Amino acid sequence: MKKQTLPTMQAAAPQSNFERLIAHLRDGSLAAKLVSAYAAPGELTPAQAVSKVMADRLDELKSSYVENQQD
Amino acid sequence: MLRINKIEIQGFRAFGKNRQALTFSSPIAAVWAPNSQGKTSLAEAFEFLLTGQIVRRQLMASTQDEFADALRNAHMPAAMPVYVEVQITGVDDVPHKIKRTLVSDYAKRQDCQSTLQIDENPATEDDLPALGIVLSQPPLAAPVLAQHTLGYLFSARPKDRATYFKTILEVTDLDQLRSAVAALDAEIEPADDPNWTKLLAAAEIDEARRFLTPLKTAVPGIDDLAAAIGNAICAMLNATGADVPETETERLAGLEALLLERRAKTFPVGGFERKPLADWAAPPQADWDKLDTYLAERGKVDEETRRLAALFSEALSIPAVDRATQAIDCLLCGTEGSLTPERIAYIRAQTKETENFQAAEKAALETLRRLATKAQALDTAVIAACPRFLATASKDRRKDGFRMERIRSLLGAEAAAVVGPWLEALRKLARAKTAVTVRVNNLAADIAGYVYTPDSLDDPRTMKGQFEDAARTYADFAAVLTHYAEVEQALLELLTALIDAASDTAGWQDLIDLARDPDGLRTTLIERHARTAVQNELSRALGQIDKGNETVLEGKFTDLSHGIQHWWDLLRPGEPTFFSAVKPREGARRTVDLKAGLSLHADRSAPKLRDVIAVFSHSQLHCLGLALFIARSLHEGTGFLILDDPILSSDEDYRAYFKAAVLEGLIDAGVQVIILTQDQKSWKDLEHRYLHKNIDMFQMALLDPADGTTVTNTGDDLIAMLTRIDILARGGHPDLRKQAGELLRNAAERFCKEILVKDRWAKADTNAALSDYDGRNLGQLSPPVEPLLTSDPSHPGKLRSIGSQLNPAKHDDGIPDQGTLKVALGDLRFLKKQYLPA
Repeated sequence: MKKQTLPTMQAAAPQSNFERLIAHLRDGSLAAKLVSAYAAPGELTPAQAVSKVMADRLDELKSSYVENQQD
Repeated sequence: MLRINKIEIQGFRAFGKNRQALTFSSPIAAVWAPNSQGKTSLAEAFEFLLTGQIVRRQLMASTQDEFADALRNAHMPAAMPVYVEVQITGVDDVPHKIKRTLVSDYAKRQDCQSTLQIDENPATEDDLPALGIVLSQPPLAAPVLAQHTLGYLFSARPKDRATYFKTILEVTDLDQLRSAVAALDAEIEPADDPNWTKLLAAAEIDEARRFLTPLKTAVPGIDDLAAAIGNAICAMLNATGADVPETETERLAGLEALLLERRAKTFPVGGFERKPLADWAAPPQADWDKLDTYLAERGKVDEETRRLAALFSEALSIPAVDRATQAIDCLLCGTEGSLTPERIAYIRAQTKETENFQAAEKAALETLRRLATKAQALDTAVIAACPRFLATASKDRRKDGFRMERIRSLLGAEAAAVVGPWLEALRKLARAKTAVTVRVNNLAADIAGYVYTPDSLDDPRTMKGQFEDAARTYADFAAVLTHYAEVEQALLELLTALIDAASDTAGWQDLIDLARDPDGLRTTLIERHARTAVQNELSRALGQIDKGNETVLEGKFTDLSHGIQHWWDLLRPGEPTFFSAVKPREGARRTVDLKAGLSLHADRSAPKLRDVIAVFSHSQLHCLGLALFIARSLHEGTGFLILDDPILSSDEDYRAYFKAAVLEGLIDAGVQVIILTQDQKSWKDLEHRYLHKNIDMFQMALLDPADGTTVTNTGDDLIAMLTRIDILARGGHPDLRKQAGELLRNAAERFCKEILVKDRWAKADTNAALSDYDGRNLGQLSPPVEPLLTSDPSHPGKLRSIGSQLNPAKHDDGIPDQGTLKVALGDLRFLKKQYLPA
């Protein structure tokens, strides 16, 4: 019988789910930023980290209205 | 790499008061026990150790009560503890001890209780992963496969299967991410904003619609915003036929006037107008001091003088009197020459005496007038704070159209809810207003009297007290007014909307308010539109995340499917009906299906897919359960597996594949395997097949129920060892000869230990045991044994020779040749026969 092989349990650490998910999202997209923030929230909780991404985006949009007015 | 080195069991199920131990030195162990000898108890001992439960009870939900007292051996003395303990080498290559002790057994509708210790410290299941022990998704959490667990997933509902697979595929973190992102929508949702509400209302005005509607979807510059509002107002004025003024300010004023006019025709809502209640402060202390000073000065001068003081001052102010140097006629009575310089001097002296009094009186009068004004201010304030209609006479109100019937008519069905409370509050307001007015009137009257007759003022404290009473009454009015304002607002909001609708001015007030604060409106629009835009972006991002999650999950299902396929193919190679995949059902993502492929071709091409339940035989389902269990375990990184009769006794065909391909695959994958079987033939076959792995062999028997199941390491027996060595030594491969050499040294050590124990027993040392010599090698054991080999002078030499000949077997470059092995084996067999006869 031909011996088939599977990776042993000593194989390299698998990609995390978040890494796998980010690979399917466009670079720099809001979706990618949200997942990255959630996966590596730093000192914040994951919920706070994604909340901050949206708050930053909101501020960015609001500032653009103000800048347009000033132009 | 995780390894179980030893398991010790006392009092657990078939195991009795004599604790039993199995020591593992090989990656594979085989335990044989005929039926009812305790094999399942051994498997369940591992389950209990790791999870504190046994799976059988959890799976048989309907009969859980029948598991009462199931764990503690029925013949265990009450005081003896029931426990399962393992010694392992963790993934950190450090030895650890894990022990679970039963505290209370299963009872009717009650779980068992136990304590877990790691290295003699209290622990929980959460501490096991640090050692490398991975538990899976309940109910099949422990890496123990038994007959009753094999069929779990086929009998589970598809939705339960979905949860089970999703959890073992570890995508719950993706679900949590998704939930966290979805929850952001509520955070971004634009809040209610009065300006937005006004814009929506104003944009409904026919003439204003085309100018204001674009604001609902875009943020214009401030100038464009003002222009939009201005154009809307212009259009409205044009539509009414009114003159359109030149400036924006005039146009706004024009619209406001038009609004009031139209509203008034429907209902004079202006009757509700009122001003905010003015602040009022009590008179300062300086005022009361002035009055006190007046009283003091008045006391110093008699009444007659006071009475005439003013008259004298008036007289002296006449130049003719003031400059008179001789007698002149009296200005009052006309008596000739009666006003002499002496009398003038007297008048002058009298006037001087009353100067202070006059100043004090003047100051007091000014103060009294000020106090009067202050008192009046209270009344003025409460009147202004009350709705205008309250100050209007009834007949004038009716003439203007301010009628209760009209209010009720406009409100319709909603009248009852708001009018009653409003009237009640209005009555209280009127009473509070009257109370203030009465106090003010009384105070004003008193003050007027003091002004007219200053002498009537005796004690300013009385007046001060009156002012304090008036202040309290004012404060009471303020409280009543606050309540009235709330009730009135509810009424007015309703009434105004109805009036506007009836007068065709709906949205006009809103437009006027927005026109007064275009910056505020722009801020609102920026906030609202930015949030709406971000909500849309979030929705798109969520869709992308959902799609990405689906792809990740499909990938993981595919990986798992490949794993299951691998083990399936090892178990059942070349079958035309085969396991195809485990995957979420199309269109029903919460359902997971197990699919079988049916192909006409040897290469399995063009398969027809069906659910395994529908097409697999009992044997195939059994093998699928095993393949799934193994694939899951490897996926989760389980370091060891306990397999309790994993192949049906009727499946002889597949038993061979299992023993060969599957077990070999597991060992190659680094998994430690412990197989329990009731089939002795299979057990022996495993010994032969995995001799090169130095397979640990055990036998279990329940000889005396009082003692419980006993376990024997048959591989440890000297005869069994010699038999193994014989087999290995025949093998030509150097690895087998090396192994034979090592085993021969172990066998020689075993021989020495048995000789020494036998000798001590002969000397009445009945405590002697083989374990007394644990850890000693042949070099240490041989010298004390040699003097005991007395049958022939050559015998000690044979033993010494075994040690010296086989020492090289321990080193990589020293592999004993076959001749050396055979001679050493023969010598040891001989010595055994001579000195340790059966």
